[in-house]
Amino acid sequence: MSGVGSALSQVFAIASNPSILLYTFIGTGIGLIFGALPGLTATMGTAILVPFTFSMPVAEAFGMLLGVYCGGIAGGAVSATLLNIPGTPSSVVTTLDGYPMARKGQAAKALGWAVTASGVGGFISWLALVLIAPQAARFALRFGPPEYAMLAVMGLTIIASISGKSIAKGIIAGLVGLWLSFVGVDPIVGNFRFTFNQIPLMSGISVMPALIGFFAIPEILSGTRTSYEAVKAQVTSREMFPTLRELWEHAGNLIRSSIIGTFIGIIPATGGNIAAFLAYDQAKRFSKHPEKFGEGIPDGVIASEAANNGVTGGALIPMLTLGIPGDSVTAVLLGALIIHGLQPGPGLFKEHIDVIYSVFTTLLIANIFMVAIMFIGIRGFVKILNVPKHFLTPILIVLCLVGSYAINNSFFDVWVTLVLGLFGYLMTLAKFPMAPIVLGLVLGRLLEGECRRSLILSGGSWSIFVTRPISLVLLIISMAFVFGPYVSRAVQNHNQRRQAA
Amino acid sequence: MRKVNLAEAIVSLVLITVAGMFLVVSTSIPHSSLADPLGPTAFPQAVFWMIIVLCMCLTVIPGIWQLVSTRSTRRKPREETARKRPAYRRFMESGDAPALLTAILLVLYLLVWRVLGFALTSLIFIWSLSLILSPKDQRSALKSLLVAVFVTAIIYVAFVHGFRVDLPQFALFG
Repeated sequence: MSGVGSALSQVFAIASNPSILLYTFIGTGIGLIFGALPGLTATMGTAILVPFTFSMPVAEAFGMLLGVYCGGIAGGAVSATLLNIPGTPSSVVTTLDGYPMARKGQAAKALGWAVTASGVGGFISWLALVLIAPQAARFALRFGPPEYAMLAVMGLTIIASISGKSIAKGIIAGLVGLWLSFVGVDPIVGNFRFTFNQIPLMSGISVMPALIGFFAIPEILSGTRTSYEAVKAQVTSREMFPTLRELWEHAGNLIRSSIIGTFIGIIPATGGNIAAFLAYDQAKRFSKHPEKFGEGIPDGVIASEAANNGVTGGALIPMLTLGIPGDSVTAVLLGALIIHGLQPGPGLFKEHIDVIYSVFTTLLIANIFMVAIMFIGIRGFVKILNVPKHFLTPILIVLCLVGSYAINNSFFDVWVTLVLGLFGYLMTLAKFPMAPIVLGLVLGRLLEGECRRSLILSGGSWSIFVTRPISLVLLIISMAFVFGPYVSRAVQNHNQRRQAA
Repeated sequence: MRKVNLAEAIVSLVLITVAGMFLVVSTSIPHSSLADPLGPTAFPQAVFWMIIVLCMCLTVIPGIWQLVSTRSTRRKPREETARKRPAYRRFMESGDAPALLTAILLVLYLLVWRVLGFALTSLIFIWSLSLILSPKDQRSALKSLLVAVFVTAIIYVAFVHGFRVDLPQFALFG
């Protein structure tokens, strides 16, 4: 009991320390800016701020960095909703319903749901971090190459959900994404493939320049085709804040998507984008009106934002308990821990429990600040929609290209953005969906690398995917995703025919 | 059979051509000496073949069918409208003109970015594009210039000093 009392007193001391609160607030604000600007990511924000934290006490340092992490993931929803340009890879899925909502004059409502879902996702993943960190980390360690390969397969099965009206075009778009993922170093042998002796291609096509190319450039060019129609967004408290009844109606989606996000976060080398895609797919499957997804309904925004913020606490679990980063931001945070003279792993919980309490507490505070800043900011954010299009278009183009350049300080990335963007524009004219391309690009290397690794382990036997329990479960879930709708439709038709007879 | 529009045809033909080229290139990738049953080409080749086959089924075959079956019926109305107004005017009045001009300006912007540096190129780009896209009754060179200067300055300061990004400078200074 005294242990719990001591822990609580430490937590209260951290939570009431003005210096920690200030740095966490600053970090969250900076993170939101990084998240909202296309090209700037939470990873980049954290990496830039790490040197500033060298001289800070650990609690202040991690308050600031975790603030950037939470803000950076949640901030992506702003540009995704208002401009159809995902600020981060994690917010790609938010564009599917957030932007149509904004076009219908419901920008504040979409952002309100995005903030609420981000807050719930962050809180549930924080709970997981506090309550089940060691057990969850041990489970994640059981993921080997076959499990990762089946996770990638499961991710790819959701192409049908995000393809809109033509599944065939969605599959082609997903294949284009896989194709782009093949460029660069072979994941097993290390040989260069499809690089055409171009040095910048040897490191492959980065996700962010491709993302900006496929989402921002086509959207901007399409915008110039239509005459300017200012969309009056309703920015009332009623629009921004979901009612208790609405919260109750969406509680299942909020909790399910947050759990998916947390689970994906726990698995190393995954990330918010995979979590958001999977949660969106599940929200559509569980919905009573799946046909409305993609037309602008809150469920799509909720699924994406709850899942991508759910990743934050989940990704910290393997980092703190095992020293294995759950995603790219936690890889930077891992470095920050080491710079502060701390060795992540089981020893951290025994020897530096004060640091663990700092991380737990500041993560919760960062989530609270993130929700507060975003709710206060919604009135300002939606004013973007009132900027005349002839000014907004060139500004967005410059921001996107500078963002693309800033990722690696590479001019090649800017050309990648432009070339893929112009081709993406042609694809949008031909009504190809863009989201499956990103899904293919993100999962391509994981799928190929882990599949080949599995077959090397099994000596070429494909049975390795069905003889390991987790892999088999993931395979069965994937098959249920693909064939489930057809089977249930066949059963329904059969029952109807029997009733008619 | 489904109707194929021009954009679908172009996208499919580009995908088929480039996937075909990549397929040929993939044959020259050396197979690993490791006990790697699939090797470095199995996944890419499977994907390229799937793209080719799907594009053929979705666009090329229906497109050819469409061409053959509607060849004679759709020409006359087009020729009549073409005689009424010149082609360039029809293009300028269509929604495609601003998109094409933006795309051309975008390519030019990147071509001179490294020579003139980020600040000057961006200033000229924002100014000229905002002038091109603005409706006639709202067009103001001075207002566009002020916006261009202000936005370029903010982006430059934020990225160079705030985010520590090494943006290209004017070549004569660099």
